[in-house]
Amino acid sequence: MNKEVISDKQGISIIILYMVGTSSIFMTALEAEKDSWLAIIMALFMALIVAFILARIKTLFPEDDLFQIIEKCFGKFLGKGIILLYTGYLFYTGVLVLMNITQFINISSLDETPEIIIRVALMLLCVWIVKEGMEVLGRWSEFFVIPIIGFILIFICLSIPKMNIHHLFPILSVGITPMIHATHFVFAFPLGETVIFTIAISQLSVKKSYYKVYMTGVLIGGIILLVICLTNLLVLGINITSGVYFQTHLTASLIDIGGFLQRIEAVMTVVLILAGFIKLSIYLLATSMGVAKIFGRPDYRFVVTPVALLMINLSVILFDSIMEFMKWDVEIWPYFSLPFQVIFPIIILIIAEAKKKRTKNSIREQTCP
Amino acid sequence: MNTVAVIFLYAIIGSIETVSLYKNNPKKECVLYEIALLTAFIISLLLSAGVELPNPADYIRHMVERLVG
Repeated sequence: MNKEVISDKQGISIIILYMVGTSSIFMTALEAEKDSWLAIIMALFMALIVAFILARIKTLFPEDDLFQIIEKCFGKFLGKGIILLYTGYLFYTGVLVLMNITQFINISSLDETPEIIIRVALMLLCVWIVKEGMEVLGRWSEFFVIPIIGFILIFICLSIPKMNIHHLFPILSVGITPMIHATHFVFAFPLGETVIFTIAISQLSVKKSYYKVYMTGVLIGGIILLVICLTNLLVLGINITSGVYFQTHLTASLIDIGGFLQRIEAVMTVVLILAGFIKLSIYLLATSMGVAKIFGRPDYRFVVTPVALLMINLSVILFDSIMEFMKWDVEIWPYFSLPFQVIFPIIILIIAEAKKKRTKNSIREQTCP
Repeated sequence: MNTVAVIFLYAIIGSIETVSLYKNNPKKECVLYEIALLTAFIISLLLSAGVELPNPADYIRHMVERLVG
């Protein structure tokens, strides 16, 4: 069995890019209207708790990925069932991510190209990088994380002249219930998806640094998301923000420094697509690992291409238009993903703690009767 | 036209991947790969012929709505 070991810095960069990709293209917490930034802050706290739980699970079994931990905790039969559910979830989410990126490319830049061509081209790159393995993915992210964050920071600095602080007031005007809904949605869409890293990042070079990697990654990714959301709200105001699908793209297109520096949105598009590419690759990787695990195969590489082709097929079946897609995303997605992001990890943690305690006790009894 | 393109694409993918697959992997992996690729091929063919396939998004919607209300 070939284990792929990556360093802490690479792990953190993968998580940051993952959090920035697709979720920063469009704003996720629009139910809370002007207070979506507050919803992101609240969701960030929840996400940190989930990251802590997952890091605890990984510290208990530092050698294994989540699938092996599930098999150890639930036994062969029930474990296979849960792995099957998880693989289905990852596959389906991967398709949603693929559709999201291609719709963004299609609407923002390549509007004459059929979407299927963009999907096939993007998937081809993903298959390539996933076949090269997690280490290559780690090095790629380590290299690209600085330019991507740098461009986002430049974008934010350049939009300062267009900002209007009154777009944020009054605070908490919509009430508490939409806030909670929006928090749930932000948690479900980018911030709570840390669970995938317990599958994809199967081993870190320093065994005890899971807490550091998961929590730093989620924190930095969440802060970038928060800043992008604030920028969009400050520049566009809530009326325009809730009227378009890709707010960041619109905000970037408004930048105009002295009539000289304009049309930044092309750069922003490339940056967001790069981050989305990492996200899609990680989903493809995790799904392939799940499929290989279900059939008891040690290596996942052989199944990457068929899984990618099936993803493209499903993306054609699922939704006809972006309206349908967004509606489904807002109404159903947070409830669909909740068991996989929160409930299963908590159950796994409880069983894992109990198992570890029992093995420790039995070792103690054997050594000193 | 679409069907021809799909067959052509899968033929290319299959011929590129199969050679290295059979050289480097045990038999079980190869069988699994062929089954998965065949499934993808059949779905692609049906889609390119314009057949309406069942949409999993609807089932998930029904399931979630029944559970959450």
